[in-house]
Amino acid sequence: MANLSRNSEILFLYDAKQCNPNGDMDNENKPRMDWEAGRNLVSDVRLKRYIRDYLMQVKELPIFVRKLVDAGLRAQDSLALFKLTHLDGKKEEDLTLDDLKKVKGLEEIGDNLFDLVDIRIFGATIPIQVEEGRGASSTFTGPVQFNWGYSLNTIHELQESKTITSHLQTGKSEHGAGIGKDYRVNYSFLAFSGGINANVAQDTRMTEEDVQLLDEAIIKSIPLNRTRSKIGQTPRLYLRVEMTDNQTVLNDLREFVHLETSVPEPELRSIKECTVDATELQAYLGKFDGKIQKIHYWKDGNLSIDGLDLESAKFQELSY
Amino acid sequence: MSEPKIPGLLTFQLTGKIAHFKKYYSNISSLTYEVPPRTVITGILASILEMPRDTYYETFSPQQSKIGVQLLSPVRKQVSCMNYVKKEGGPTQVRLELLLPREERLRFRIYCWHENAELFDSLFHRCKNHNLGYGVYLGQRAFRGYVEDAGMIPESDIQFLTDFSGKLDSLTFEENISGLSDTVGFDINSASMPNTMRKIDVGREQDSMVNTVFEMSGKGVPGRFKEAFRVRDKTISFYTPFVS
Repeated sequence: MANLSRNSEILFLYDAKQCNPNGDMDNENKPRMDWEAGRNLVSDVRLKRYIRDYLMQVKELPIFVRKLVDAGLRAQDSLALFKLTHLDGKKEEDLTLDDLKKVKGLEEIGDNLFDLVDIRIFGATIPIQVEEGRGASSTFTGPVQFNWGYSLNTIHELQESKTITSHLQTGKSEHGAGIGKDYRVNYSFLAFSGGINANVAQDTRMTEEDVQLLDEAIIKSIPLNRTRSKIGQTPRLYLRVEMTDNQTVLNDLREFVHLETSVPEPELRSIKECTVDATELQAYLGKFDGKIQKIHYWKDGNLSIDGLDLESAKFQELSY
Repeated sequence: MSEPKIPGLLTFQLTGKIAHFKKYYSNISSLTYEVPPRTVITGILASILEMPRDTYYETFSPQQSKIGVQLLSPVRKQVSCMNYVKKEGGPTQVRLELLLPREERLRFRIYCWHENAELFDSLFHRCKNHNLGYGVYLGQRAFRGYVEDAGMIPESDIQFLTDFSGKLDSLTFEENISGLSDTVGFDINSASMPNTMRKIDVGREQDSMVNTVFEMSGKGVPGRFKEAFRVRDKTISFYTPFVS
């Protein structure tokens, strides 16, 4: 499989209705907010988690950054698990901690490291053992990087909290129970932007097939996450602007889309009250027309969008 | 001795939505500087030129290259708590201080000169043509940066000044200040920042530091300065002295 040869720029819009898109642990797990600007924030880590979960659970591909079943597992045990299950053909349920500890790590895996799909896409920091006591790590920068997401609509208050009780797994205790608040946004129309750097892809061996996996994972992963606080999120628009080369980098595509609403923004509650104005985006992409190979897109049927010429030859619809 | 000359200055606007320029001494929490340290900017320039990690520290030494930065829009900070995975296993919570704009976007004006004419010319053309190599990041990879409005200021538009009295539009190094004027109405800030990096066996570390002074609301630093450069309608200096 040939490594990637073209850069891409990504715009991903989704909305969150009466849920908590990304909680801040320091703040009673309230939705991350930039209160001064009135923007709901979502970290890139949250989005990457959705993508990794999809690749592992739905596509059943090996990944490096897993939700570790046992808190005692180390990062290099993730590599050991990969070696034993995918390279040696052992069953995961048959393995013990001692089996994992016997694997030396990176040196036993070698180039098979790049069979791990999230290392090809996002890169990784991998612990390596050095003779002296000090730890070290080998860092692979990922070709795919996302900005933190923020809401296009302004938000000035959260939905009134319900009080909930829950059994929380805290440390060693198996009988922990807690009382907590359940804070949610009423409505947040979130925008992520990102890029795929084909130069960097040479190092991690990301391929065209990986890009297609990424497209699918971004579009499909969020609705599959049906936990209490995450249900209510719906993808609305995905755009991947594929360049003709591995050199050109576009600006943040979010700067060129604007949300128009039929009710005042703090009162927004539904996608039916929103229209995305992409007139400036169409104009901006037009300036780079000679350097754009294709604009791959997916659009939700309930989204109203103005100004984007989706019928032009440059646009190609993704369907699943 | 003839007056110091700069053959040209590359300038561009560095923008983004969020940044994190980690203070070198913050361990448990990750605190951020208000303006990018010199080491961040040299990293950006090296990335644009597609130089591999850790190979460019000598190339962008303060002797061979001069870098200046102007804060164009007011900034503010906010702490977020992140869930990370520890190397030893299990979760860990890290407080990450975000640098956010008071206006729509973070905006810094970067000025740069390099004594290697070929490298300098390549840098200019790459910035001009949106050819950003390995990409531009505002301190961390989750905070993508963007290069806009790139241009080359010719020698004829650059004038070296000594013992300059007035407002300095850019950040400056502390030793450059002979005295500050009345700073009422200005928001003067200072920070000790990494100036150069060096490679060590298992990674890299800061090699030298510089004490910097800058103004937080975009008004410039009022005072008397040992050296400055008049660049069109701005008066700037660099992180490090031009005349030593």
